[in-house]
Amino acid sequence: MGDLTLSQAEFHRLAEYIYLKTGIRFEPGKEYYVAKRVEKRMRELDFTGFGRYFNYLRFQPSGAEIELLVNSLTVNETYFFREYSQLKCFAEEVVPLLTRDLGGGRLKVWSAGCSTGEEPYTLAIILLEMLADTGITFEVHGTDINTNVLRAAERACYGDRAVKDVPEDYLRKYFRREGDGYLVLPVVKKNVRLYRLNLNDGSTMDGMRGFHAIFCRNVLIYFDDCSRREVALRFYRSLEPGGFIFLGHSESMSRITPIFKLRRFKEAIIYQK
Amino acid sequence: MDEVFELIKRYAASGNLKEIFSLIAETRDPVIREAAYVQAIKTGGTEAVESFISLLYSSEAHLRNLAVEALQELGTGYIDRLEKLLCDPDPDIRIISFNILAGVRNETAAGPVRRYLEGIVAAGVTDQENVLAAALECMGELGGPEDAALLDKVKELIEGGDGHPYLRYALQQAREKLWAI
Repeated sequence: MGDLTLSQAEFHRLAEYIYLKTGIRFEPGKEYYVAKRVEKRMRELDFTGFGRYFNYLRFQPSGAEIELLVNSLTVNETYFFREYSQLKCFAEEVVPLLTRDLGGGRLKVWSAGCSTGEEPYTLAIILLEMLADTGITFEVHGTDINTNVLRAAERACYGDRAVKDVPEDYLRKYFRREGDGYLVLPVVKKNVRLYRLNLNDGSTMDGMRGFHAIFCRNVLIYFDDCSRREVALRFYRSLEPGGFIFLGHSESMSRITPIFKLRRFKEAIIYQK
Repeated sequence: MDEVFELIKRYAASGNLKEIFSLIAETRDPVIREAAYVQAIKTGGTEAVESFISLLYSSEAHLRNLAVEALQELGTGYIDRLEKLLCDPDPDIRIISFNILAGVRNETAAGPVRRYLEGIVAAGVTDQENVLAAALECMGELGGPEDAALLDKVKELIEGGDGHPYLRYALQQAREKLWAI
């Protein structure tokens, strides 16, 4: 298949459809960017014309294709300190709230869909900083369904791009240079438990209890409506009363389920049990 | 709370949808309602679809909304049943049914909307304005360029009546959506 060229009308139609379904707006001028990703999906699915692909996108029963396309359009690259303002909110507003009533207890945080480990290690670094000298301990659980990414998370060695947003002093304090990469130090790693978990597996999910915060960013987009609702319900049960759940910036728990309360903080909007 | 979750799971395992729907309708606890709703969706089948259709007539808006979401989720295998709702004597139910069809992600959902529009064209009488507008909006979501001729006929019908501006607008929106494909 040659290069796909989207006509203005096709681009407009697709952009409107994506906006309708996700709230993400692709303005004129993004035609090439969008076309390259649509072309990739069409090639993978063996479609030869945009019209047919667009119909598939609209009518595929599971709705997975729109999520996959949007995912590719929103660059699902993961790196340390991703979505900084949300993490700032976690560190400066949510952690103090959670620890206020914790006494000398243990804070439990879950990075669900942790991929290659950047998020759980970021959370561990934040908690090391925020809980130093408080007497409060913590554990970060990083889970993913994909064992390959978990192996990479266990290695904990990252390239320049992954650590580009790590503050310089944290880079010195919590990483060690190793060849071309950066190795996460044991002081961080020892607080992080990595294991395989399928969010759709009810019996395993039943064992995930007592968490004070769950990060599940850009993961639920892969689920169909019913599974997404079921997973959200399981997250609810996994959280302690008053616990928080963090979704990706383009995701909305209110669109999935009404069971969480919306909490507005200075830096972000977060959902609470 | 855990006991209720276990109870709902047991109801689902024994196919006891009646109790699950009683919980959906009667509980004031949104978490329990949500858990029962998810199990009802997962169980699916004709009984679940009929029970959700009953909830479309509820006086509680949240229950009606849940039913709409559920029928959009389950509707693919029940397009014929949803089509019957387009003839419901209550115009609100007809509007809701178009909304449901618009959200059923399946090409076959366009069939009932076409037949509805063909029906009013053949009869030469428009439906209540809000219902026809909902039908046109639904056609915009589900139809394709092949529906151009049908929309032209609907346009003639609208212009032949009082040419209500709202209907003209809904028609224009539908045409723009379909032409752009």
